[in-house]
Amino acid sequence: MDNLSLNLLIFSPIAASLLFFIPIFRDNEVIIRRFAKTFAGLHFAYAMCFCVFFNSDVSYFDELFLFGQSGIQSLGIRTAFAMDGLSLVMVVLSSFLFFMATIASKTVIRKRHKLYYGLLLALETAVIGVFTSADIFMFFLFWELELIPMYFLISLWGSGNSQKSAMKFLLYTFMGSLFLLIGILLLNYYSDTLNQQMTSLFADINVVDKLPVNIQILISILLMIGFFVKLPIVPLHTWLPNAHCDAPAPISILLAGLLLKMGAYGFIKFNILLLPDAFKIIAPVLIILAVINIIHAGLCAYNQKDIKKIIAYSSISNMGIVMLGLCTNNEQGAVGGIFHMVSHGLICAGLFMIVGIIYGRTKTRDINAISGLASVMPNLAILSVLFSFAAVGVPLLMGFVSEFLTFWGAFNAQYETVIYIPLVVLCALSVLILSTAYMFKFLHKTFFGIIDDSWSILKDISAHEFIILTSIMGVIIFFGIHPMSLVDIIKPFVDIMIESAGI
Amino acid sequence: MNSTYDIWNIFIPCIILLIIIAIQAVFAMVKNNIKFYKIAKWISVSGIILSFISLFDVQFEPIYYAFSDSIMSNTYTIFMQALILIAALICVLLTKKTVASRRNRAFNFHAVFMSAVLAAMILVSVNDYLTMFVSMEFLSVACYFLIAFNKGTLSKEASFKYLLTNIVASSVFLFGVSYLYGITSSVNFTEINDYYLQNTAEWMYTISVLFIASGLLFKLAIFPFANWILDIYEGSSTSVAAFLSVVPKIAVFGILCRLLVFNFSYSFEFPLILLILASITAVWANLIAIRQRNIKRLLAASSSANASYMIFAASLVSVYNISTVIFYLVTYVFMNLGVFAAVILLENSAFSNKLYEFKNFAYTNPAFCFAFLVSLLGLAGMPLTSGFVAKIYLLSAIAKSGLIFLPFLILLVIVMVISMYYYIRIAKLMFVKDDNQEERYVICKTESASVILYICAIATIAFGILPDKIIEICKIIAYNI
Repeated sequence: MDNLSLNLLIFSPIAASLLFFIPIFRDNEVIIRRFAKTFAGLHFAYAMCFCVFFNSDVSYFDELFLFGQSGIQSLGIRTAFAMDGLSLVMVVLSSFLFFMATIASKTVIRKRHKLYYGLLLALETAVIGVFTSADIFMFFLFWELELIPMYFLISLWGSGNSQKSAMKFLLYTFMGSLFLLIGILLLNYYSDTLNQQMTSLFADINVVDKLPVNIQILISILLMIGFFVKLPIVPLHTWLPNAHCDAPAPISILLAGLLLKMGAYGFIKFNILLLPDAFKIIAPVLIILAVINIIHAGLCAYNQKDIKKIIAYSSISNMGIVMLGLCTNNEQGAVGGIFHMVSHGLICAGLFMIVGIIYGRTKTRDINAISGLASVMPNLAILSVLFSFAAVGVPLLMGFVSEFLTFWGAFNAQYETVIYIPLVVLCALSVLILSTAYMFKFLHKTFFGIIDDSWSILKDISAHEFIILTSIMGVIIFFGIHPMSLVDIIKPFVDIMIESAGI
Repeated sequence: MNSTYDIWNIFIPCIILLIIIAIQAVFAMVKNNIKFYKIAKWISVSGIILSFISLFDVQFEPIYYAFSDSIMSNTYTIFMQALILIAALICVLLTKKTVASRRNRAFNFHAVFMSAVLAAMILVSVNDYLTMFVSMEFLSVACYFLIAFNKGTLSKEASFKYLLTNIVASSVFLFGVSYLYGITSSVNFTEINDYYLQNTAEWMYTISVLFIASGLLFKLAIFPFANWILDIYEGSSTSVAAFLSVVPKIAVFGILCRLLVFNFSYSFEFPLILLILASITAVWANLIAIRQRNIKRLLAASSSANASYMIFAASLVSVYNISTVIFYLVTYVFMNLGVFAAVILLENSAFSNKLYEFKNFAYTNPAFCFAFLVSLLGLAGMPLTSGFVAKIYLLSAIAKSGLIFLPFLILLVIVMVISMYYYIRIAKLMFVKDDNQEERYVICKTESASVILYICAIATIAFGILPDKIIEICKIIAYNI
């Protein structure tokens, strides 16, 4: 495992994206696409190597040196990268979804291929950088680095009102990230002064029992604004439906599959691991916020006319479940929350892919205009049914495991508050029936019923699309049947998390 | 005899500039031939380079006081002077189009231009209020002519507006100086400093300091004196606007930081007043920038906003904070001049100044577009550019000043989001492909402006990826202030 280089894993995509812009590279659509696909595939294979050789006792650590310097030493910033169980899972998930997204781009992207694939690979570096940074400022650098490629990907290749949505996405997220920056700066400052050091590695930041709890809560809230915009948690969520709606299908996959998970990842890394004292106090409030998230977004999803918006709101609702799991502060809940990050990433990717295929064929996203597609697209219909089952949590699929673990953990949450937590959780659980309602509304209205004449000439999914959907489905079924293979990787990390935040 | 030594020891760079001004003036009188107008630029360039080289010869260790303590030199002033010369060099290379429009006045233009540089050089190294006033007025008078150089009535109006506003600011400045002289019976920085080391400062001191600062705040377009900047940038030619956005700014920050560390530091209220003025400016400038349809007016507002960010850090005086201001200045010079170079290139290629005209060229001029994008993203503070490091460094300075300044930090963050909107709107327009309009080309060849653009973009990226050495230098400079 010593031979595996984290630097190569992180920086090879952006290096590959720079290759596109050298003038010798021919502006030929097929060559560019195949190059990007091959690269993403190799990258995924390399990421899998990390998975194979992973040992939870020894974590990967790597540092990038440019001209003998690492980061900004005069400020104590180092370009250091580390990989623990959680990072590993997220990195492999990212690499997999980027591979899928590059394949899925074939039918959707019709212009400016060089720029598109270049930005896509630059985005991959940013996302993987966030999941592996060992330094809080590096974390922030990659967190912001992801904004610009994403902005251009949505605004230039999107449909409908894409420029406005992209701007909304950019401003919301930038706002959040700057609040995050204030939190990071304060955290770094207090940690440095309290410990007499000048470093900003995650491992060296230590304010537990030293900093007054009030200041910890203040920093925690500032950080959380940043993460909750990304996650999103309900009052800060309005950018997400617009961005999802107008983004092209592969970008929607990445947005839902990865970028939302960045919020949850940051929440675990900062709020739970670095500021556990504050977390213990805020957690009951967060549970209530998460439950509001689940209910509100679920109700919104049921009322949407636009099929892409249904999926978008469902992903907000699902991030509420992740949040609920992380805040339970016990083993089942935390494993469930992290498991749900992965499972929702995969399920949502599949659902957005399906919606993208439908939109590409019919050129409409109005749920009332489409009906009876099952008779012309039988393969897509079968896969959609499977994905919807996964989304509502049918046993033997991945969604069931994560939702079950989360709610098990949530009922056992031990907090001494005015509000009886299990009662709140019961509210959320009863509202989970909504997820069945909106998923089956989507399924029923689009695929079943009487087919309109104008849709009778539509073709079924192509080999490309079939491969993407079945491979995602394969992963979902595999982990649904054998969840322990994933739990084994994240378990050591969760143990550390519970130990630090345990009551 | 003594002053001869002084000249040899620290005044050589200024003397070289003075000689260049004289040469330009003689050419303007004698050889005012339209054919030779290109020579003027190269005389200026060589003068600035010579002056820059002679800076290495200046004595600065220990602090050197010259001309009966009216001028001083230390590491800090040398660094600021070097920065001014670099910025001036870039600005001279951008003036081609401006001068070409009035060839018979080429030598006059360059003579005035070099006087402005000279005034800025002296301003950062002054050690008493009278020399400071003279050099500030010198700078302003030069600026009146530079602004009015453009053809058309708009530039005359702008020049007159600058003149009137500046007169108000300078008289307020002088008024403050007279109060301070009344209290301490001295105009020398060192003596005033010594006075307040022994005596406590009273409320009159705060008022006089505030009045003195207003003369400097005018040059930076901070709130009570902020309105002029939009019209003046619009009226003057783009290269002069580029000059106005960097050289006076470096000079004024050079002197302001030094005053804040020593002469202004005996009042508790003054930094707070400065902070409030900076907050008002930050909000005003960013809000007004959104509404601008003219790129020069937009850049004017952004220049005012950036000045206010630096005031935030500078007013909470500490060595660390001053080092962040210096680093921000260094990066700002390259980012801002990169954007101005791009705007000049666009103007030369027959784009008008209207923002919505700036489209349809991203796919025909990818290299130009990339360099422009880098400069813009640098101003917006995106990672991998120097703007990102500068932003983090500056905000960390305010964060380290104490939790009580958290509201200001949050305000700064909110206005930075607003600024993101208008920078990225320019960037977005480049990529918009309007099918009705024909494809447009930006003429980049045989233009010194395009070289400047690429150099600035490369510097922006280089400082963003490897900022370590420069931050160390900034810390040393700030320590030796």
